[in-house]
Amino acid sequence: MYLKSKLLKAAAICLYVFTALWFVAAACFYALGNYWYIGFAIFALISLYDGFVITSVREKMTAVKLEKGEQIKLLVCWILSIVCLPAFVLCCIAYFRNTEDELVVIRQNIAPEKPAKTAKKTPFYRTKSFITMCVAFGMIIVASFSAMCFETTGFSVKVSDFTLTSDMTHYYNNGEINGEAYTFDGDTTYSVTMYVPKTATEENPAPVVFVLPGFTRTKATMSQYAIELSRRGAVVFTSDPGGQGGTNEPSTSGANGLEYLVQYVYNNTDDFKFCDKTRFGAVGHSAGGGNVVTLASDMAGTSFETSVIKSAYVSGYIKLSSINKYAKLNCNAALSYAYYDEGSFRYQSDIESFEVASLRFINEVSGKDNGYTSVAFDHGYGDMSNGTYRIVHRENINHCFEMYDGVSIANTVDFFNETLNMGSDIGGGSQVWFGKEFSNGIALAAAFTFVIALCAVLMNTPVFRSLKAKKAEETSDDEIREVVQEEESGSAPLNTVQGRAAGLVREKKTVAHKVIFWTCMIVTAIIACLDYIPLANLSIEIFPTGNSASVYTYVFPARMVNAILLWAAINGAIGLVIFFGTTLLENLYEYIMFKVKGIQPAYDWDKFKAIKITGYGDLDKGNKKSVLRYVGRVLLNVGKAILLALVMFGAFYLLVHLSYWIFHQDFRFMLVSAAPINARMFVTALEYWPIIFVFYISNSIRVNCSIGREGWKEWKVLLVGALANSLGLAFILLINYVCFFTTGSPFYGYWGNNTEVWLYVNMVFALVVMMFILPIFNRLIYRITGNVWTGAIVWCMIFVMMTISASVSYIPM
Amino acid sequence: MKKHIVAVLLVIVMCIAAVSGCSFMKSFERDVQVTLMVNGENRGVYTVNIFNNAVVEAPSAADAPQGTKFYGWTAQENWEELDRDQIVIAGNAGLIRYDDVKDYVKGDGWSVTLYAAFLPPIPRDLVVAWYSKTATSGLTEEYMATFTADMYAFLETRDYNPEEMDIVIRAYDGNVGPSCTNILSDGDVNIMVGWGGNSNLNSTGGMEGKYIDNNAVASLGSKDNRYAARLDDKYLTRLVYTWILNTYGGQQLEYPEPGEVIPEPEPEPEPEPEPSDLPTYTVGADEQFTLNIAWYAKTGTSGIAQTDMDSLKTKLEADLQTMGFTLANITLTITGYEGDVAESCAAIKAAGNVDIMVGWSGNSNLSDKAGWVEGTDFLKNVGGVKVGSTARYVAKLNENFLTNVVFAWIQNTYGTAVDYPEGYGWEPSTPEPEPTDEVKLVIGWYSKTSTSGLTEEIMNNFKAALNTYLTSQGYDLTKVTIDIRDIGSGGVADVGAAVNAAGDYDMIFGLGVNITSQGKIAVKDGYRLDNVLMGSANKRTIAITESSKNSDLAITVYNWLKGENSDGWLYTEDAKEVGIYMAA
Repeated sequence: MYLKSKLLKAAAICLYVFTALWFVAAACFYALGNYWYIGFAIFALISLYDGFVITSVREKMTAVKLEKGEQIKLLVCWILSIVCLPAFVLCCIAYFRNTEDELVVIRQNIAPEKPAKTAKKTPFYRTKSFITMCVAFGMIIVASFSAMCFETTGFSVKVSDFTLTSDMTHYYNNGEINGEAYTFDGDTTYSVTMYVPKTATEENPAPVVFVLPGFTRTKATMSQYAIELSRRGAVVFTSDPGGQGGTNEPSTSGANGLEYLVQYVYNNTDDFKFCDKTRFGAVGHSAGGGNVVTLASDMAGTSFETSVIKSAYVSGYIKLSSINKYAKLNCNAALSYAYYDEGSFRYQSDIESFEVASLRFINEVSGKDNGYTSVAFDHGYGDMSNGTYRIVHRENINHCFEMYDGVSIANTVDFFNETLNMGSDIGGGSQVWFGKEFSNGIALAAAFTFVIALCAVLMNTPVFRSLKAKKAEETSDDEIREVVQEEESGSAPLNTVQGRAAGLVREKKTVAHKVIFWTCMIVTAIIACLDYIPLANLSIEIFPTGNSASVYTYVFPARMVNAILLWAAINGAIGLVIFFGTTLLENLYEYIMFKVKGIQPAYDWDKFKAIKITGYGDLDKGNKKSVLRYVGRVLLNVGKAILLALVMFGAFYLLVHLSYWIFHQDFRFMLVSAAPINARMFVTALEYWPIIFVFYISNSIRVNCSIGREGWKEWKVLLVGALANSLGLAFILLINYVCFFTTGSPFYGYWGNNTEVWLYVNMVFALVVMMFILPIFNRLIYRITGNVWTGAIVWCMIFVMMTISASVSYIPM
Repeated sequence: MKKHIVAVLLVIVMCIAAVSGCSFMKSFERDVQVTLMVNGENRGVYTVNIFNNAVVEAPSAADAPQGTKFYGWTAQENWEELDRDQIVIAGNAGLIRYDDVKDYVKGDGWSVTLYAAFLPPIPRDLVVAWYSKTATSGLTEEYMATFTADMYAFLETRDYNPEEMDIVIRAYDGNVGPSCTNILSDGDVNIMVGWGGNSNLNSTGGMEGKYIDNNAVASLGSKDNRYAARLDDKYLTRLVYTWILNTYGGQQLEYPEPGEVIPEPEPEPEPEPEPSDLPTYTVGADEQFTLNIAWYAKTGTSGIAQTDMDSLKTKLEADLQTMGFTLANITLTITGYEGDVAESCAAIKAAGNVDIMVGWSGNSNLSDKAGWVEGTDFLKNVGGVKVGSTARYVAKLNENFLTNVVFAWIQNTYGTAVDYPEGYGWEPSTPEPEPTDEVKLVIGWYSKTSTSGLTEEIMNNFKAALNTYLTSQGYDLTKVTIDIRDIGSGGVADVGAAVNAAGDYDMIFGLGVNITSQGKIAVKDGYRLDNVLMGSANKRTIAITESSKNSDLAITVYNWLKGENSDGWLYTEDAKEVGIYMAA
């Protein structure tokens, strides 16, 4: 029966693989608005449950010839496995295999006996956790230093931050720029980073480029432009737009603060003598691109000579209000719009589309109409010497990754190199910014590792050790796994009433349990996938910020994060309901079977044990004092669990600040970032932590009290947990982009009352990564601390802080 | 170990697949070739796919048969036999998209032909457009249903029977720009509700000059910053518009009476400079001037709309030139200030660079509402100046030379005649030209080749042919200059304005039948040829301008082109070879 068993195992694996493929197909057809997706979803479920039944038949096999009932089951499974052709063939072979196998020598790996552990205590500095912590810390230092080297181009560029204040603009307002005075009042401050190459001096002033990111992004996301331009000899200023990053001004009117910065640099003859005022350029992406057009047209003067901005690079922005300003520009200009820009679905009319915008861009130059009837991309029109140069690019990338695209960056760099006479012979394709990004990414991973290792180190200290003190009846998951494996090998007769009463073993997993377990997984993933955008739409309607860039409020002011807030709260609550509900139902079923058929019930209340934070020491339930003492210890442990989480959070952000203070580096990789905290972002986060925490504790309970108790190997627990938590979001991207690449419009473009929701899908890219690693981190912390709370608290605080600091907040602070 | 290797290989394969996925995605982009036909004429072939649209030229009014206008592009070749509601329009007039044509593709080659459909406009009693982008306008279908019911109730009090009238309440979605384009394209909207203020309608909506009035209606819908605009002067339009302003705008306007005739506004005369009325200044060739004019953009109070200020600017620039100023040396900005008197005056004060204010009220109003002091905040404030629909005031804020000139000019042009300031003291930099007996014929040609069919080569060849003719007629070419000049490739109205501004064109080639109606170029009676073929275009016009300075020579050329019995040069093979000819 060995061969038959193997065939059935292979068939089951094929069915599980096809389950995934059918679900992908269902998502694709859903994306195309084709009702066949229902059929594919049904195929997926048939495939999955068929696999369960086949596995069950295989596990119950005692001989090559099956019992009648099992044979019928196998026949039905075989027929249903038509949804998976390989499984169909394998089941067919297995079904008709009724002859015993020939003698087969089975190699057995007899693991050598592990030597008994000695009772010697390892000093703390030689423990694995401490060493890991030190190594992680070292990696942070090395990686941040490496990132600094890339950012400063081997220390040939000086990078520094400053804050632009109202007083600074007023002080240098003695010279208006082309009839306008760009000053602002009040407590507004703009956060600016300045890159000054060593070659930029008073004797040899350098051209200047101002860089502005788009909506919800910080200036750090545009550092690649700053690095590439500064290493080619330009002075670069990057600025946080209103309400984002370190800028506290929530207003986004005008050029979003860029005009104040330009005027300040232009008029400040004391501090910026190394800046060549006759060679100013500006580049912006997305909304930042629109701001650059506004800036260049406002400061256009009457001619190229009087225009303050000599070169403008507009990336990813083609709104009509911006198009109408092209004619007012008196500078050389470039327009770049990603070929796969998801936002282009909004611009499909004969006055507002990319084709119209690009035609007008090359035609409406300095108040004249050049009369071109078509646009050649990457072709320079006009004359750089008189500010009539125009070029249009269309890179093969999408909107949110355009500023990380090598071709796009090369186009930008080459444009400024030529139009601002930077004189660099470094080609645009020669780029080093990715070194910084990669180094920052290593630092981020090392920071997470540090935090986890710190937790383990602290758990070994007397203060926190009591968190994991076990009571006699508690059993660790490792012990459970060992017992299950022993039982499966037939060596441990523990499936007894006594064994079950001791909580040492669970009932062997029945098909019913598997169906419930995996159905819950699938249902929660589907809900998480389908409710994200409707909840994003709802967040626009119920929160004060709505969809507006001009509502300043203390009440949930992070406009884009409000969608995540609702999603986390709803799905977290659903997760908790499913967890507790299914446990209750399963135990209720046991009770009913006991009452009806007299079958000994196998209740599984052990699931809830990890949720409780217990005390330590002895408990005499009959003794009131003992009980009170115990309760006190429980409360103490609760406090310690929270304190441990706070310490870990504090350590993480201390590392972030330290790295920024020493190396001017935060921890990031593209859209996933941990930046230094400022007051307004911290206050904003305070509002979001309690509600989003519902999701984190729900996830911690699920991965540790449900998935972690299936008796799987640890890697499988982590993988299933990670996939279960992130697949729903990944399918959002799948649905959106299947629709996008087959129709030209994203699936999630408009929603409800014509509300634009495509930007919320952009956020999913970073969210998927964070949701993938969250269960892994929750599991690791649980295994160290023995409770589900610490991990949930610390990761909630860290991930929410990361999300908020990389988004926009309209808090009036 | 084996499992680990397999897992790593799987990850590598997935990464490669993801990275190369973009190029794989290109295979989803099926190209569709779209041919556009207008009145049986091929107007171009364009390629579109899911990520690439095509900008096309919509048929002009000249293409539309009498009494019709361009309705849209349709794939139905037999559209002329169909009723209006049977004609399916594919997308936009000026932009062809893959989504608009994908259902009509024919054959394996993926091609489709679209035909320009022309239909007469439907006369309706009233069309009210509402902005259905609720997040911006605050209007919903349910709300507009209530609005309609209330409007009907009002009309019944005015003895109308709305149920029997052809009243349409039509939603327009999308952004401001596309929605306004659609309104203009439909051409039958009388009232717009739910859009923004003037600057938004003009700059983003492209509605400049297309509406008469635009007022705030703070209690219309859930947003308090919305407007209602009126697009025509029909009685019913004015009646309903007044009701909207009274009901939702907090106003208390009187309703127009039935039968009340609003006189057709007299067309603005062309700003012909009258040398005897305007002074002449001698200004240094390099002297730079700056002039900032502020106007009160609260149209409901000032009676001034953006169109009025645009007209003022055009006239002012023309007259300043006549007066001897060089426009390139003048930085002229005209800025609208919204809000009430206090807010707008505070903004002007904050700006600190305004020279002249137009549209506010008298001294006491400025003093009471804005706290302005005569002699400090403004120097002089004069009334009876009607730049818009109502007589208001013009104020000067300084004694700069150009400020005084323009301050006087505004009063002379829109109010009571006053004296201009004394002349300036610089000598003219260029001597007067010596009189000669040379003759110059200026021929302007419309360089938008896709419309006019003309190219520089064609015009050069034409000039050569003309020179040959003139020589044969005994003209001395050393004294006759044929100046072939490009009049521009922009819109007809813009080109016409440029021609009028220059004032020295004798003949115009290449515009269409709209040379007068849209181009506003006055044509000499009896000296206009339509339906001329030029290059690949047809229905072009050759005309002598009314303002021709060498009409004798121009007439000679015209007669040579046309001949006495339509047998002139235009009908010859030579003309066909040149590219400007008439069909036999």
